[in-house]
Amino acid sequence: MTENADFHTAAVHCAYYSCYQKLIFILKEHYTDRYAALNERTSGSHNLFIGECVGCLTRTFKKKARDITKVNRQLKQLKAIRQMSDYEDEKVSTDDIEKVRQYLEAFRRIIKETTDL
Amino acid sequence: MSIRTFLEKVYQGVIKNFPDASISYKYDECSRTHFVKVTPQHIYESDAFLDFETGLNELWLAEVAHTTEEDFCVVSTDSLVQLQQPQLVYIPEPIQAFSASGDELEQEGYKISYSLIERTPEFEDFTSPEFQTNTSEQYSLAA
Repeated sequence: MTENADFHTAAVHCAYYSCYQKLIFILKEHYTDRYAALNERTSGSHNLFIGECVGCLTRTFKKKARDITKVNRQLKQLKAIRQMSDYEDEKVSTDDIEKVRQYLEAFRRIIKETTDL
Repeated sequence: MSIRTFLEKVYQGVIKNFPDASISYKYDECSRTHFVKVTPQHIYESDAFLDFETGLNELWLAEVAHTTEEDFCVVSTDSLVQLQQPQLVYIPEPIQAFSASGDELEQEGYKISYSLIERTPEFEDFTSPEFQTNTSEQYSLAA
């Protein structure tokens, strides 16, 4: 999907949601109380679920706090680009898609190193 | 805490702790995200800035996130998101801070470093009506 410009928008969409769902999984499985509390208060705000998961990971893995902050800033950009390309038909360039690929790889590596998940 | 108050804290914190950094700001309507761009890239990637940003994220989550559907994100030169026509730009203005004897010191092999004018812009600038409504021009807070 990343090599064909026709699919760049879809690639960004999938990239974001794969990261988002991984964080939801971590929150639901390992921070059950926080997940339940959020579910009661919100109808599914991505911002809150991401923020809560990032906050939990930062507090649990203090030595990895900087890496988790990198994940947070990159995921928020992926979310923004996803929304711009899905809803405003913004073109995703080849350079952009390469950056998306780098963010995905960094996300996978940091989450694996931090949580072993 | 309001988003505006939070952003003012971000802005003050960057200027105080990273005096060499430039700051741009833009609110993206589509993603409902407040983007703050901090340059140069080496400051953005430094451990000190990552620690600072970790604190900002904790503050955002504790004081702001539950009151809004908007989001906050820090980016830099090499980031996926770039700010086209930012609504706010702050560029530190370097001055030659050494005294009349600076030249003599330099001749003797001492390295003379520049320091920055400590000028924290009034936040009236940051929150002015122009800042909110005019997105086609850059506003330099250092001016």
